[in-house]
Order: sequence, then structure tokens, then C-alpha cells
Amino acid sequence: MQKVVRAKRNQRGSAISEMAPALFLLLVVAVFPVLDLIFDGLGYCAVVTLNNLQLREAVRVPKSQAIDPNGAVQLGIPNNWRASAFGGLAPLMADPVTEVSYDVVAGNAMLTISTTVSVRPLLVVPFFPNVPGLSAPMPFTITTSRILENPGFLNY
Amino acid sequence: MKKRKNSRRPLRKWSALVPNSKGQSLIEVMLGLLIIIPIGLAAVDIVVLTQASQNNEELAETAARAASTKGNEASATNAVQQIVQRVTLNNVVQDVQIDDVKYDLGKGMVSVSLIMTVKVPIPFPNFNTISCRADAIQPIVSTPAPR
Repeated sequence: MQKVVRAKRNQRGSAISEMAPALFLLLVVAVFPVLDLIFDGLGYCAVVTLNNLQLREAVRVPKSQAIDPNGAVQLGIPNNWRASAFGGLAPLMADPVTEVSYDVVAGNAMLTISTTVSVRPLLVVPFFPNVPGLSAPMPFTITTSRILENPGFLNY
Repeated sequence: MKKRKNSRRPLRKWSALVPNSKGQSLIEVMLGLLIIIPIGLAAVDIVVLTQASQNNEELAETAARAASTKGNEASATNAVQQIVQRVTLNNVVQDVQIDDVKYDLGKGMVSVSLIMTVKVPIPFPNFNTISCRADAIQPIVSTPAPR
């Protein structure tokens, strides 16, 4: 009876020896990608907020100010946004690129503003190469339109 | 020797009575995945629906704003149609229809209702296409305000 018991392998250490590869897989395959996806979503929301702020300002200023690269729409608001806590949730690879265009729809002056950013992933997971949001920057382009508050702003 | 044979018998019987639990983890994982995966897929659908609904609200607001600059109901409806025609349809947003345009000069308000047909990316039974309705009201700015 005693010999049989001694011949059996002691498995008490198996749990701790399995923990290292299990923890590695859990972090690399599950935790880090999920964290990246969460912060990708937060970055998207932050960029949508930036685009909305730019749109609200652009519809109430003359065209000359809205298309000015050094004006409030294309420079001031993005700089303030990046300095804010919400803008900090979207670590950018470069400055946001803003495109402003105008057209006339149903007799109304319509402004369209596109904001393009490239958000760096929070944690780069090297085992998934060139996947946007996980190991490569995630590009976002948000485009919105709104009618100008004053149609006369289209002309100056 | 005879005594030794008898001493082994109880051990065999005891091991035979112990249930084999090797497949338990696999069954638990499978059942867990059966619950977790549909929840994750439904979450994707809800995000898409929320986004589409918000876009529909903004579209209705823009359409009402365009209609508010017109002088009568026919031109207001035409303005709303032109705004709706600008919408780019895709795999998610299947269609946008004008449900109602009310141009009320007495109240000085124009109201627009739009219905957006949204196809969820991951269809579930009886949950394939959803209609989102959005209403927007704007004051009429083409005529003097009522006193």
C-alpha cells in the first residue's frame, strides 16, 4: 500500500508551474487587447467630441475664419481639446487634420467638417502585427454637416 | 501472498468509485462561451444601433433647420427631401424615409420626423432590421414670429 502511494507523482506544484504560461496567455491574448479596444472606443468618443466642438464653432463664424489654418476652428479648438483630460484619452500620432467645405442645399448654406486623427494604441501587443488599434495606430475620420447660422457667412 | 492480494482489492474499489472529473472543465468552458459570446455580439449590435440613432437625430435636426427657412409646407418638405437625399446609405443604414413634416405657421414651428432603417451587423432571430424614429422641432425663421 505504501509503495503504491509513493510511486504516484506529487501534483501539488502543477498549479504554480501552469500559472506562468496561463498568465502570459491571459494577459497577451485577453487583457491587453481588451484594454486596447476600450481605449480605442474612448479615443473615438474623444475625436467625435472634437469634431462636434469644431462644427459648433464653424457654423457661427464667417467662412474666412473657418478655413483659416491658424483660426479657432482648425487650431485653437484642437489645441484646447488636446490639453483637456478628455482629449488626453486619445494619444495622437500627429496633430488632427481638419477639412472644411461648404455647399448649398435647398437654399441653405451647409458646412461639412471632417476631422482626421490617428490614435496610438494604449499597449502595443507585438503578437498581432499591423492590426490597427492593437499594434498599429487606429485612424479615425469623423465627418459632420450642419446648416450655417447666418447664410451670409458663406460669402466672407 | 494471499494477504497481500486482499490488501489491494479495497484500493481498486475505492478508485472506481471516484467520479472522473476530467471533462468537467471543458463542459463549463463550453457553457460559459455559449453565454458570453452572444452577449458580446449583442453589445456590438447595441453600439451600432446607438450610433445610428444618434445620427438620425442629428439628421432630423438638420432637416428641420432647413425646413424652418422656407415659406410654406411644400417647400419645407422639399428641403427635407434634399437633406435626406444627402445621406450615404451603407450596410448598416439601409434607408431613410420622411415620416412627417408639419409646417405650422400658427405656432411658428416646423416639426420633422424621420425613420431610419438600420440593419444590425450581427443579426439575431427577430432582431435583424430595426427602425429608428427621430423627431425635431425648429422655430420658423422665414416669417415674423407670431405675437
